Amino acid sequence: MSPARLAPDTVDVQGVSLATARLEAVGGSGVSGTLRLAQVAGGTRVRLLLDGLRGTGRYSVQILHGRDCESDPAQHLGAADGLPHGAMASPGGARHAGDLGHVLARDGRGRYDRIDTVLRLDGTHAAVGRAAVIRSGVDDGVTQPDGGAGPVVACGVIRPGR
Amino acid sequence: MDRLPSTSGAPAAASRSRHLVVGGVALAIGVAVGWLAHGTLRPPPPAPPPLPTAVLDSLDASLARVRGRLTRVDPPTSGEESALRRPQTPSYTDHLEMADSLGVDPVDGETELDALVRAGRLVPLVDSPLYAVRVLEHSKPFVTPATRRWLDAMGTRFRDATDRAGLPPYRPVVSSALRTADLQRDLRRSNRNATSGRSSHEYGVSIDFDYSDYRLAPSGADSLRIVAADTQRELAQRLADAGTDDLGRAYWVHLYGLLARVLAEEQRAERALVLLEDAQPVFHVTVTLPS
Repeated sequence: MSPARLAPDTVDVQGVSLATARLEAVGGSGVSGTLRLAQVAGGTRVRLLLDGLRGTGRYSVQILHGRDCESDPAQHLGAADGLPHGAMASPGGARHAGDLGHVLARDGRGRYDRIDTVLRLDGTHAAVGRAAVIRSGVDDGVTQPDGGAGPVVACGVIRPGR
Repeated sequence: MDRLPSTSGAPAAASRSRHLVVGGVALAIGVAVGWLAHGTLRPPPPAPPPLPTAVLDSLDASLARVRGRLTRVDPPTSGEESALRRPQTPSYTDHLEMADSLGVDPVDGETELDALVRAGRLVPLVDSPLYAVRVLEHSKPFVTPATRRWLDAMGTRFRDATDRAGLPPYRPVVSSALRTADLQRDLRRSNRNATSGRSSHEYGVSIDFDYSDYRLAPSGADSLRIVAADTQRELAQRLADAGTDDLGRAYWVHLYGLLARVLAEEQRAERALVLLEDAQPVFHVTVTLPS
């Protein structure tokens, strides 16, 4: 009997405890920044620093199932498990791993620092190698499949760190 | 008894609840349409059947019970609020001195933070069934081990209070934790009102609770009684969770009453200093337990 074939993700993310994505503007939005992921006790620390935001509204933060910035922004990391899209703190825990809520714009900048208990850097559905996007609107956490979060304004692929 | 006449969310919540069932049906349709339209990663699950009237009635009754129990919890009286405001409560200077004596040395940035985490002097602050942690803008999700132990114990006492009131397991929300010097500098640049001196958040023993925000614990589903067939139970429970979570925010002033009483007891028992801030809707708390 031949051994079960491992999904590529299971191999290329082994041992990764840090990862980053350089987010670049999409469609002339002027929004750019850096996403940093680190494995910590209890989950994955997600840090995001954005520049070029407009107004004082909320922008949605999502990690996609796809591996490049041409991927469908409505297909989030974790959708392959058959879970619905949901709010970051969905009370029943029904959300994709890539549903990360919002960053608030203040004076053109946005900061986000949170330890997420669902997102993972390793395993079959690791964030490493996936595209991370910033979307211009509010993710309502209800509308399927992507929260109705509006157009993508910045995107980058998450690369493994040290 | 003095109440908070302008802050009660009850009228808005009553209006929201009248439309809950309609909203629930809309959500069910949205879920179904979404699955049908975007099930490209694997064959989409079958669209959930529409919920029958009996299930919707059960859902509505369950939420009405929660709403009724929320409104039976007293918001804080003006006397209870005053007891947690200056000058009756310890001043910010007291918080600063306590934090300086019990916390870590102020942290400059990520490199120092990493070293303190590796040494076990700071620990990650993660969502738990007893409290939620908001996305942080001007602080970092780390505290001292003693502060996290206190959060667990205080969260248990808050849970006891919700249990006694017959409420689902609502959690208080931490809105600020450890502030490093680089964040403090950034805050000063962007906010002229920000303090120019030290912040007690720089020592890892102070946190803020947003008293207007509460979240249902992930296990909240267990406390609800929905009559639904197995095939409909998941959707019905998701609607019940969402509705119950919404009620906690709509009727926050009643949960604010519970939180004020629990924190006042923490201060009386000398486990924490508590300051109800004037400028923001937060309790600023400095844990007084030694590491």
